[in-house]
Amino acid sequence: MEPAILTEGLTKDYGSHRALDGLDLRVERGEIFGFLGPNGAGKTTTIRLLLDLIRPTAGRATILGLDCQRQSHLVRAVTGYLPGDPRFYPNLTGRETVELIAGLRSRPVDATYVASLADALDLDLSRPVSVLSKGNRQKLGIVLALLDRPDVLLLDEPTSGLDPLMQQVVWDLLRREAERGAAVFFSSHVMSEVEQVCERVGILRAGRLVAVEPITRLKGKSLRRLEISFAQPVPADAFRIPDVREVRRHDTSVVLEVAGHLDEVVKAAARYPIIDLRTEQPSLDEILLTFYQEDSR
Amino acid sequence: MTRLGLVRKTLRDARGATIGIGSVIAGIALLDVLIYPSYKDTLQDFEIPEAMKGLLGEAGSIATPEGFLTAEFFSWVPLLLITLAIISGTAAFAGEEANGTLDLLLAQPVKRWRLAVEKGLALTIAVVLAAAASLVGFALGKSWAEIEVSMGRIGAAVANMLPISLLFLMLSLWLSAALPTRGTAASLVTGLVVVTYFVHLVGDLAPALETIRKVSPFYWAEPSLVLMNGFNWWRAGGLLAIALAFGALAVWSLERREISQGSRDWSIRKATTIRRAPGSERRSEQPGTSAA
Repeated sequence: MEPAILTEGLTKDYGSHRALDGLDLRVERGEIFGFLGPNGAGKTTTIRLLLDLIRPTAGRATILGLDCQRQSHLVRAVTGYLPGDPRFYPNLTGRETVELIAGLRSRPVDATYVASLADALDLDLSRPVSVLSKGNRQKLGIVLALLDRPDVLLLDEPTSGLDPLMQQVVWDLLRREAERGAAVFFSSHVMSEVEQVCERVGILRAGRLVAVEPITRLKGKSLRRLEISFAQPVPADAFRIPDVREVRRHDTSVVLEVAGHLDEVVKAAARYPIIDLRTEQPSLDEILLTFYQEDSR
Repeated sequence: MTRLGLVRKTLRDARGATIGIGSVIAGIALLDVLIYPSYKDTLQDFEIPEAMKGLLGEAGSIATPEGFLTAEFFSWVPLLLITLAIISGTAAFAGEEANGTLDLLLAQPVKRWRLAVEKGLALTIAVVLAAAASLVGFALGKSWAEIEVSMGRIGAAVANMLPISLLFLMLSLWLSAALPTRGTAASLVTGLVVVTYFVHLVGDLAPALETIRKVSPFYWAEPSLVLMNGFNWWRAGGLLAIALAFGALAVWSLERREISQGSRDWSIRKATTIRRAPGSERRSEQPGTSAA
């Protein structure tokens, strides 16, 4: 069976600047794939290439076996898209916008389904788009992306501007889409979001794919900050362990940065009486740093 | 798929400008017909300044109904229709791209040529409707005042305003699809309209300009000839053929256009603003896009 999304050597140059450099990626049907990277890494460029909004300098991409350039309108017929900054016609209401886009889709749009999406997202479709807040515009963008239950969803920062409760609703919607067999490809720079819904994650840096990892391995590989308070000062070489770096030491407490699993460091710490142990969730930057360091080695 | 959904949407977007310009044109038509009987005798002795004779076209005298309507209406009202064409034509692609709504349309299963054709069709309808509004003004005027030109000849002269308006509409569409910004496209078309109109007006005075004058589309859209002799299919057909060629170029350019997110400027072509990101090689940002 053809993969949902396949890119081979996908490259995009803007003049002398290479925005995307030989991207090889495969996303399966029913999978939720997170595309992580800082601003300017090439995430949006990838999504726009898949939709044929921009043209590759080299390489090719397919969606469900359809060539993203030569069969772009067929690709868009099976694809739902949410841009990073959704914009609409200010003179239309949400409902009129839905009707306009529904009229352009190839598949029939179920009005009951649209109403249920709007309900779930707490979105009033009768209001003019011009008065909608950033969050409500984002919700309208999500409704449009899911409008005719497409086989592939390309979502650029889907929960941007939404409150935590609404983010949960969106994640649930995406899980449901994946359960029905749709491939969900979304870009993000928020690690917690990716953790919530993704099975695999691709990490992009300056246009190059640094790694594609299951989310569990990504978390295992990432840097973690550990602060341990002991009952008494511990020897200076207590944590001379590979992949562990002592960041700070103050009297009886030690702050460590650990790359990978915590097993060794916890065993080393357990040789001394521990009063308190705190670990911090790595930020996206810290995770990316881990991969960037590995990549540059 | 809802048939012609984009046509309806485009017409709706152009509604304000179409109604506005259509109403003004209808008002001017009504006024011209109403005042002609009062001025007819006075105008017999009126010698139009040499520099303004271009406004009369081939009509010879402003005292004749053909000369009066040419000078007072058909010589310059096409400029209003062309204004509508430029406003709505340049908004079609570069304008929608700057608003971020071109993304919304082109992310749907719509072929780009179809988007161009439907927008072109809708704006052609808008220009035709605005021009047709003048017929209402002329018909109302003729029911109250006497002017010795048949409604058929007036209708032909109104129809004669369309090829040149559509030529500039299609040119606007093409430049809107080919150039990065709406402002650039609008400036170029407006400049071309001003230059060709001026060349046509003053070309009548200087024999040296006679050849250049024939390059101006306004020369081929001469209204006085239509009012005196009836509709000239060859002249109109030539202008419409050029309009169609510009329309085809609009489709060709839109097919090749790289769609950016929101507004951009010329510099997008050049990948500017080189900056060094921490720990990375030299790279540049793409203006007008938020490439993540």
